[in-house]
Amino acid sequence: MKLLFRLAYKSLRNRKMSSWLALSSMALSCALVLGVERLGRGLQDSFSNTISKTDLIVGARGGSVELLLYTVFHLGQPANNIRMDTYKHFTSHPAVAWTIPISLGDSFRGHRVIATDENFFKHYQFRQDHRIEFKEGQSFSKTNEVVLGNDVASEQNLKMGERVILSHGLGDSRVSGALDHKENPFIVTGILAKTGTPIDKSLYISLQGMEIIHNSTLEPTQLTAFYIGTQSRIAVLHLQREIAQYSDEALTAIIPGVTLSELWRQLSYLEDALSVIAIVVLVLAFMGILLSLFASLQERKRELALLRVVGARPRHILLLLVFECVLLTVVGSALGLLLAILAQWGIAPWIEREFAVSIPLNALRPEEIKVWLALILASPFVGLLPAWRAYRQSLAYDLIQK
Amino acid sequence: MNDIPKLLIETKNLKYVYASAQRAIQIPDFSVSPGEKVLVFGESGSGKSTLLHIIAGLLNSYEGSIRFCEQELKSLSASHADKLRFETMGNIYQSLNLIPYLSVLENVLLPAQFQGKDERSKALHLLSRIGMKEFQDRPVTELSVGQQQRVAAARALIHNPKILLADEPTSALDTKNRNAFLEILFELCEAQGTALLFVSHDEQIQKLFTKQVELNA
Repeated sequence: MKLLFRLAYKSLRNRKMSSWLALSSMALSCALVLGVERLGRGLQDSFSNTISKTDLIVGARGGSVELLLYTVFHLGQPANNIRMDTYKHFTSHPAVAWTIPISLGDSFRGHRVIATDENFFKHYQFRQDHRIEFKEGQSFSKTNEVVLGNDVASEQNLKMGERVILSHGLGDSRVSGALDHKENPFIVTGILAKTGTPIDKSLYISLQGMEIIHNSTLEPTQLTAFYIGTQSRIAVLHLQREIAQYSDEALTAIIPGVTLSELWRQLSYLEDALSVIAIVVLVLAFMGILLSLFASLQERKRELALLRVVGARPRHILLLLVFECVLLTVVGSALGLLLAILAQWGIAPWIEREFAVSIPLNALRPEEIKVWLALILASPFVGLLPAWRAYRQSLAYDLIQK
Repeated sequence: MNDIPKLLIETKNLKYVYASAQRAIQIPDFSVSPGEKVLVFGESGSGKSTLLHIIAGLLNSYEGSIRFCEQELKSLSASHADKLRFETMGNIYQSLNLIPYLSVLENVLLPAQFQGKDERSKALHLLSRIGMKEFQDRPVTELSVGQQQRVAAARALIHNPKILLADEPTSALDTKNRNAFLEILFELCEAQGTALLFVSHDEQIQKLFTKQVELNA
């Protein structure tokens, strides 16, 4: 066994070019599969970290995923508003610790404008316990003041004290200047620090500010939705039921985490597609190894026949080829893991900066180890293909003839 | 293994029909006793190598009888025949006898290792006998043909075979190297009592052997 392993190793080393190519194909494939898997997981993490510590989101009766999308992800349109009275009712509810009101309806060059109050900066949390912080300036205190999400400031190149003209509607209004609220310019009083969530992509004004540009009054009568933090987590389900049964208005209340995973499940076909691609990539890597081993059999007729002459049995020849496949797989996949980890080291900070997706830099997870083990366990069986051919060749004794 | 058979090889009415060439070679009956040096000679194409391949078990489709260590070769199972062959035979071919990616010493050790034995000291002894001891860790690809053939001889003898089959091992050597090689080969065989079955078309070396088998095409 040890002898055959040494022979396998030396024989592979003797065929440097083809061995390196087979190793590289295995290494690159493993690195690719691992990289994509980790990127996907990073995406999922950052996705589910968009909002935390908020127990309920309440909006007009409708789909829960839609409610999550237009409140947390700033995507899609709310179907209906809710009355201010309703908001006030639940604000003073004994189970409620805090609330954040949200009103949608305006935009700035494709970025959403969210009307809210100081509770938003005080209570909104993401990525477990991160709070919104100001990079510059402070919250709005007057009705004509606006706070910018980090990306809005950098993409639109806006500075503190600059004036912005908001537009009516949620779409990109660069084409429809007619809907601009020209008479009510807003002044930038604060720019938020980067959060890596949709918060970066929006602008924030006061509820009164929004009311003024639309109805020229100071007292808002409607809201799009509101967030609730409860006094005690135990009350959440009860409160959710109570909101759903609220008799004055048809409401929907969602638990963000539950709806987030529901939404992620709807996206799971993406993950399935990635798994299929991963399997195909690994099969291709094995084919690279097979190609190199099969091609080698032709040029190694003499070598294998000599081994037979010096005492190797046909089963030794079989094992030799199997070992070669196992060696290429083990070394190739180990190189691949190393490559993936190095690459991650190199580019993870950049990805985190640019896309706010943090890729976990931890060691191998059990799932990854499982895939790796499966790969290594499969390798002797893959190796049996060329090994069987070599075995048959070594049974045909006339090989040694010149 | 301790009981030495009286005859290592004994053939009767041995005949080999080439499937493709539609011709046959008839091999005169002969035998090899322990320690004997037998030369098989004849023109090229007279079937010398074929005979050696039959004895080595590399060709199985012959007619007639061949007894190896007093056992009918055909009556043995393939794996039994394999085992018998490895334990009792050594082989040297015309050229390319060595595994290219192993060192001199590793090549010599290989047959013993396949039998699970560590014959390091014997290998070093053989290498010093053939004047190759200082080359032990060299890759065999760096050796001259003459040196390679000497290493091949050492490898063929490492596991104390009863008989050494040599298939024109000198044909790639010049006269001087040929004589030197034969001298070493004979010396090594005599030292451990190994019989030699040597195939050659070279008539000059006939007188060095105790017995000759002539093949005619």
